[in-house]
Amino acid sequence: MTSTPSARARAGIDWFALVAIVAMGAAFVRAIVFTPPDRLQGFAQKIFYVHLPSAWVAFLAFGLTAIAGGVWLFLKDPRLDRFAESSAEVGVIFTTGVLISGPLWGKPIWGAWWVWDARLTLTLFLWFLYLGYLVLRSAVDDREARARYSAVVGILGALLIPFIHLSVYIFRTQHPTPIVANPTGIQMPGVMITTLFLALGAFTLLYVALVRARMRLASERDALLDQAAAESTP
Amino acid sequence: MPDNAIYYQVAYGAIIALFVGYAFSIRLRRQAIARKRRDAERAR
Amino acid sequence: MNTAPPGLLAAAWLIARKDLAIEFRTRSAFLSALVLSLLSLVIFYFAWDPTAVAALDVAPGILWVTFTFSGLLGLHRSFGVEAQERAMDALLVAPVPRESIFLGKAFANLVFVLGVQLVALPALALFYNLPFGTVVSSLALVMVLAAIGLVCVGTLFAGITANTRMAELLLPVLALPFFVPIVLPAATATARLLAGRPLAESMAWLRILLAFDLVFLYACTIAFPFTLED
Repeated sequence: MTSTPSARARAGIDWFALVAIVAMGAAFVRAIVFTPPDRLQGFAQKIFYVHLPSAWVAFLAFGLTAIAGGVWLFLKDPRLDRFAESSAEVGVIFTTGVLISGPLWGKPIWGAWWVWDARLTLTLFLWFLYLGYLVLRSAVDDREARARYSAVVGILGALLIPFIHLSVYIFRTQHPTPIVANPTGIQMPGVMITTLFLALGAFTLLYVALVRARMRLASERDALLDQAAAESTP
Repeated sequence: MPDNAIYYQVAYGAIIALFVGYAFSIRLRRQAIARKRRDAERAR
Repeated sequence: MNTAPPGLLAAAWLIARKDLAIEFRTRSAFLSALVLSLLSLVIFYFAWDPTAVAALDVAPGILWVTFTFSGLLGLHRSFGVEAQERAMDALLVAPVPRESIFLGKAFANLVFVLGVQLVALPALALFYNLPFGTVVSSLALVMVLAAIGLVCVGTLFAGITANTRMAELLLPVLALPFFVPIVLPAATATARLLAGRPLAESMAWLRILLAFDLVFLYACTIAFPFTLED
């Protein structure tokens, strides 16, 4: 029974991951080669095709972490906890992607690497929030207690997001940022929208593939711990 | 049109490096677990 | 529930009184939080160039940084005292609703935090020569609204981190992101009030604080029993 996870690992090719990689490759090739640069923003506008999908996946990942935590509180299924753990970690990686691509777009367009724009600030706090979540998980050894604590923190984190958004949004409107080009006001031509949606789909597939891989890691780790516990108490 | 292609090239490169690096970290951690499992089996 | 002698709020009051009695007799945490507050007010003074920045501009930031960190000190203590001789287990077997344990602890922490602030606020006015006299009632309102939100989230997280390794490090890491929608509105409202603007101008910020208090008082009270072992 305990050998199933490692047997699956040895089976080799993860077809789903392969599809995700191909989709990511297609999205990148289309964004780089087949999508024209923006007339006003130039080539830097292409950052948008990785920035927005990363942000979408980050919110998806954290939302699903909260939901999985909430359901865990009632079903106590360890798979839900492993999913919450994996989704939060993958979400932090995608949030890091948002935080890397945001300043790289801000420098040529806004004229500064970092501005305390409402959305960028919210993303930064999200990053801190879920790093804290992962630190909490690493600080608890008992599996059941860890699942309980992180479920509660995951749900409260989802409750917190609108409050942070509201406060940084009101704060920003009082401190105008050096906006040279306002991305919300621009109508995108169809070719760009197609690229954006392709990127959204590819990033979502990559999210699922990474969460699956991360969950396999978690279940192998738990199986190993179970085995060790079973041997120490004969 | 401003000449700022370098920013998106760096951004794409960084994003790809981030994902590849993370996938690799999962792989390394799984290998470490597999090694521990083999050690435990050999000890038995 | 009917067989349990005290009701939800009565039991919460008993637990708050117990915590406050312990704190009143030992005074260790209160004094250290107070000294920390005063010390940081003094240290901030030396990091400040009065010729470049007006006192009115730095004071809100100093006040809220001090408030947050001294509050964390008190919050950490609230479950720390229960760890000794497994007193928490005794609380858990007591015939009281578990929500009461949370509400009682949160109320004791509220008194603690406001008590520290009662001394630190006049000290800030004294050290930085601030005209608090006219705005003291509006400022107190901001203070209380912020303190309620702070102790709700803080008490819950203190209960969680008390059972982990490196609890005193983990509590700030976990709680500080949750304090953003408290500290940001409170500090901005404080700056407005100190600048002599009417309270009505800070209404949007007060509404955020009030909404945060209501949502998280409710959510944390419900969530607390889930953090305990059955």
